Amino acid sequence: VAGVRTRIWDSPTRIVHWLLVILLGVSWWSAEVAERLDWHRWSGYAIIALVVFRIYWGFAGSGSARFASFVKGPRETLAYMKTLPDRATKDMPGHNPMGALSVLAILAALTVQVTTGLFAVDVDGFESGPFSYLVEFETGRLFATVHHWSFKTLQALVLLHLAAIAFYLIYKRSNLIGPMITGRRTLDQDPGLAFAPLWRLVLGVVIAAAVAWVASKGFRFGSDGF
Amino acid sequence: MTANGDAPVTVKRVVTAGLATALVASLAGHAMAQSAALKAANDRHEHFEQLGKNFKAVKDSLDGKPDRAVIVRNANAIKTASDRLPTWFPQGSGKEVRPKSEALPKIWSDPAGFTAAAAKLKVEAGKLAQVSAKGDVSAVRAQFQATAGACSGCHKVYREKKS
Repeated sequence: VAGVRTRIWDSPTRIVHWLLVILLGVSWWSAEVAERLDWHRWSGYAIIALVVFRIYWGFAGSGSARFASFVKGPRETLAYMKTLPDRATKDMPGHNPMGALSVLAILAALTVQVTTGLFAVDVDGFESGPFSYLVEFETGRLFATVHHWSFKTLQALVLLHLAAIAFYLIYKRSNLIGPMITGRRTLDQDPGLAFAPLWRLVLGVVIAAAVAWVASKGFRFGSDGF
Repeated sequence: MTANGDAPVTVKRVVTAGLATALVASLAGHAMAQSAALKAANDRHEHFEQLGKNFKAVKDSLDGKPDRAVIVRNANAIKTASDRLPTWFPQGSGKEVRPKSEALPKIWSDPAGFTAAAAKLKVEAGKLAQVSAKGDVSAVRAQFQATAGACSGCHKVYREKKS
């Protein structure tokens, strides 16, 4: 099969993706297995930075990372769904319309996850998110409950994501994992994607780090003695 | 029963009435004991929730601008509650009366271990109240962890782990 090896995912998009994979694991493990809530908070702050960056990159990033390039309306999404049973894939230089829904759902679930974590209080009042001082104990417990359920939702979305990748790999013989590692994929023709300049990346990293830092402090800076 | 079978009937009635009364009394007694146990379980839940609020208040203060009055008030509340904690677990006040209770049967099957764990908390909570009164923030911080550790040490063994 003739085709051109084309760069479709830029490195920021790939790095964010794989860091999210690692940090979701770290977050789960630190909370459920190690019960190290200090690590859990650090992992959460890092995820805040990643989510902020990914949303920024969805507006200011490279072509294939922009929401405007891959989020489609219901008609196009339905049309794409109808082609799912075809074993021959119509390769897309980026997310297909259903993958777009997955991206939005996972980003939304992650946003709920980290936001509720910022206000959550554990059952004993020993551990809490940096903004929990703004809410009563009961409200903090409610945030913890939502935090728990949004994680279940996130797990379901990740499973769906993995199932879709397996479906493409086995049924459609289309490997989506390789391109997310190398950034390159063989396509019929070069889609001529635009890639973002370095300064936009630097700006995004600064914004993401600043938001995560402020969040980790709960808007409280410095501390005095009695 | 013969012509003067009245007497045995009366005796029977008396016995039946007596038995019925005893049964009702014992049922009522049982119900009362149960409702006392349920009350204990519910009160315990309230007490622990209050402890959670007290710990949160201390932590909120330590993480922000430590307020001595807030820390002392809550540390004292934690100390008082810790002193009383062993009385919050009367026999029969577990899941059998309050299904949502996370108190494990081990509390009652291993009273020596449970009492020792509660005694540990009493010591740490006492120290927390002490260092709070002295107003040494870093000592309060360290003692907060020690007190929380005493709580968690007991929870690991005697409290149901929620998934």
